[in-house]
Amino acid sequence: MCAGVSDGLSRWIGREGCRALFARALANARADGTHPVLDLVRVSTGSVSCLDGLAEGAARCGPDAAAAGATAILSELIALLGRLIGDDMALSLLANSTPGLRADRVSHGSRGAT
Amino acid sequence: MIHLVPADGTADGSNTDRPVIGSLATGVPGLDTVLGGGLPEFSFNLVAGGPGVGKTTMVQQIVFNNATVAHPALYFTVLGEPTLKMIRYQRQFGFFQPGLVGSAVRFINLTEEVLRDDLAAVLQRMVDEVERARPGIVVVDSFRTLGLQAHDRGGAGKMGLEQFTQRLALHLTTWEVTSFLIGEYVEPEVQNPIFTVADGIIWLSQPSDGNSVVRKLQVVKVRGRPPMPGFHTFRLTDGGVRVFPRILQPQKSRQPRRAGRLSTGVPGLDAMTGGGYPAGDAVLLTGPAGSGKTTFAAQFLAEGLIRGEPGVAVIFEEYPEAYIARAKTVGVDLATMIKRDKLGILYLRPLDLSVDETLGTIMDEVERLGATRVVIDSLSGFEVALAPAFREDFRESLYRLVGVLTAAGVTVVMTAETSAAASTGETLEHVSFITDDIIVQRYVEIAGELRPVLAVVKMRGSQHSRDYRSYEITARGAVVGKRLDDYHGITTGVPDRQRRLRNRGYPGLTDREASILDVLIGLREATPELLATEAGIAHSDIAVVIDRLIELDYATGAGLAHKETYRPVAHVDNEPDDSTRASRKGV
Repeated sequence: MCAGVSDGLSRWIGREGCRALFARALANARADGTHPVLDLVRVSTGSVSCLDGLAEGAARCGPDAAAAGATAILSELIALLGRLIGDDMALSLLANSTPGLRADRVSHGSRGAT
Repeated sequence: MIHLVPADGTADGSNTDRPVIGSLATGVPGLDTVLGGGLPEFSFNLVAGGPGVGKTTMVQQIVFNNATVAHPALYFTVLGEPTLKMIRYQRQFGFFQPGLVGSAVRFINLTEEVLRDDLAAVLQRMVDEVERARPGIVVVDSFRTLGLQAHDRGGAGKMGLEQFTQRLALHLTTWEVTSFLIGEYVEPEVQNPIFTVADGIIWLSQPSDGNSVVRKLQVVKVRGRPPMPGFHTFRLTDGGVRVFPRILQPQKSRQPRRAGRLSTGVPGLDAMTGGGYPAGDAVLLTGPAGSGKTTFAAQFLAEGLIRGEPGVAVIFEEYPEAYIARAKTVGVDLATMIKRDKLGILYLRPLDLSVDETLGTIMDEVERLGATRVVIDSLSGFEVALAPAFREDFRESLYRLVGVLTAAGVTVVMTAETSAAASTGETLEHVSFITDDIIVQRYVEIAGELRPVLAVVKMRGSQHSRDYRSYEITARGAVVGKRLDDYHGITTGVPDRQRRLRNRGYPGLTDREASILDVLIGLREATPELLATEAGIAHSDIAVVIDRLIELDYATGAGLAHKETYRPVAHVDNEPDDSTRASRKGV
């Protein structure tokens, strides 16, 4: 899912812009220490996906913890985008730029994306 | 080769099957007029200008006004302003529709292709995206960055900017795309191929003058149609860009120069003016501070409401609330007129106005209300409200403003302040040539008090009064009073009470009536029109005087060739003096 979002976002804000967004989202998700698995995650500099280390995190902490960590990052990403360009457009852009993701299925809360 | 159908829709007979180039309505108010009727469809356009002038805003306004899901707009971003920031700021404008982003308006980042120093790859990506999306509009923001990157990094070796530009134009036109290249150019670059290849070049600038900056737009080039020449001011508003064409088009829906007269709304002034202000005239009302110019103007508007003629008040010196409240103190209810949509009040106090902007705003309101009466209160306030660069051309600007309004059949009353000591004609020379009619108010000192008087100095094509008359500002508005018969030297401001030497031979007549009788004696016989003309008074006033002459047995009616004529009763000779006049009535 992260890779899909990253790819879709890169199309309209560029790969560097996408990396910047993911780096900030990752930092925010790590901030309260709820997801230790995120300590293994880092922003990629070369791969198509903006995030590396999720697979390693799943292996070490379990797939559920890795999924929760990824969800936290996406949630922060959506919240960040919402603050920058408005929630409506953030959700719409993510839905439009990420095949398989529907706007009505995406929301962000204090700590959780669905 | 492109052939155009003439603007009037007629063909010249030499080529009847010429294709018509459609127009893209930009959605930017005023821009289509400047472009000569919108942008030619499928044209390849450059929007150029310095940073911060409004290029991106204008193009995005065009994009959001035209993009649909079926024919989307592709917005290619190239280095320059990060897309997220651009969207963040642009969505503050009223034209921005978030719901269209991603579907009808698609942002595509080309940074990676550009950084690979390969314009061929950039072109291929753009062509692929165009073929996939079948857009109606394509934007490249910023094109100049694209060219600089290719040049600086040696990318030109693979595909030169010229070749890239030509191929891009070719592809976009082939795919029936109207395209916009945005570039931060300060002045045209002769070597840059875009200036040659582009079908249209719209140049934006914001020259400064002192502390004032006014944005200006010039259509340097648009193929296939004649744009409106010159620099046109534009403003960035909450709704986006608004352009104010330098030359307003005549309004075909309106009848220029209506016949008839418009009542002034001031009791006594209609008679002085020969029946009211001529419709479609520009009237200048001058006077010192506190002389009641605004009251006269407000009564003109209020009279319009009574007669079903909507009006517009353009004010510069006080807020609308204060203007409305002040009018109410003299019995003019502007608030009700506004509620009934019969009056618009435009408050134009900002100090960086352009004349075009002012004119555009006034004409919009005139059109909205179908107004036939406009008050500009005051010219001095208007001049101050203009940006410094436009004040230098105030006369020319005013000429254009008045010309456009009166050509639209609107009667314009303008107020202008003069000094308290000014006599007739003073301080008017710089604007009087623009006006058809001039009414001068002033104070005179009589018996130790200041009394307001007025005179109609000029009323084109009218037999107007040449009297100085007193007037009062009452609780029901201004009222014109009697002629100052007993005084001379009014223009000095300190008139003397004159002795009634000339009238001592005509008991019961005023000086004015006596002088008209003298004229009648000189003519021996005259129609009312001839008598009024020879006596220099309004035709509408002569009937009253003749009635008085007949009533007091100084004149009698006579028929002459189907016309009503009058003769003096006690005619003795053609050069009467005081002694002969005394003998006529036996006194």
